[in-house]
Amino acid sequence: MADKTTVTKTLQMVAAFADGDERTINLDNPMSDSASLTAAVDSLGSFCLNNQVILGDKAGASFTKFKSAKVVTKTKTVLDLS
Amino acid sequence: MNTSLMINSTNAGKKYQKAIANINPEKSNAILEEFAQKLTGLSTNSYVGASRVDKSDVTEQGGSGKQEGVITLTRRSDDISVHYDVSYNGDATLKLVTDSAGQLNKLGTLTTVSAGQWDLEIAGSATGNFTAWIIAPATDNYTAAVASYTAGEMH
Repeated sequence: MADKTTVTKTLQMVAAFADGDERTINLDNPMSDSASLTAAVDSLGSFCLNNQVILGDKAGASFTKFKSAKVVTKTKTVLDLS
Repeated sequence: MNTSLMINSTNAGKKYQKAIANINPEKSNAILEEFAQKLTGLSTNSYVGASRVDKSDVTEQGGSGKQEGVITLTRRSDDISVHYDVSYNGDATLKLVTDSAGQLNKLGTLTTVSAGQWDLEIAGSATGNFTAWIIAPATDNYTAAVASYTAGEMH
């Protein structure tokens, strides 16, 4: 009997809006290289700012930036009874 | 209007579906697709496609799902009488009345032209200023819609 461990990573991005509202977007399987990931998040942030694709919960609140983006690691350990 | 985006991707044979709510409904499909591709690009997944889901808000009373109607009046006239094109997008029957409480009158005629469209003709002999009301009476399923016209401006 041995432990089975699964590790999943999720990118948690917090989008900020002009009225102080925030939205969290979670994405599984983020890029492993943090420098490339940072650059890609910045690029997505610029795109969202220029195009106002995502909205806050309140009417008229415009997207300002991704105020944080972090990779969260979840480790799940189960006992393998086989 | 509440617009969402469903983004599909794959990774090592496993399918992923990501729903993003509160999408700007005015954005073109091309912009939304680019957003979906960029978002997927933050992951190691392979982008498959995206679809937008537009949901219309339906105002309901009594849980029937019927829509509140709006009556619109557009004036047109000819030499002899005054006509209004009336449109109504709700489910009730329109009535021509003298006040918003629903008294029947004979100052004009409301005639059905086609589904959702009526012709309102003001009686040729009516003179002076008066306001008459077209109502779609309230029932359990929706509230009343009301529009009015003032006849004083005509011949």
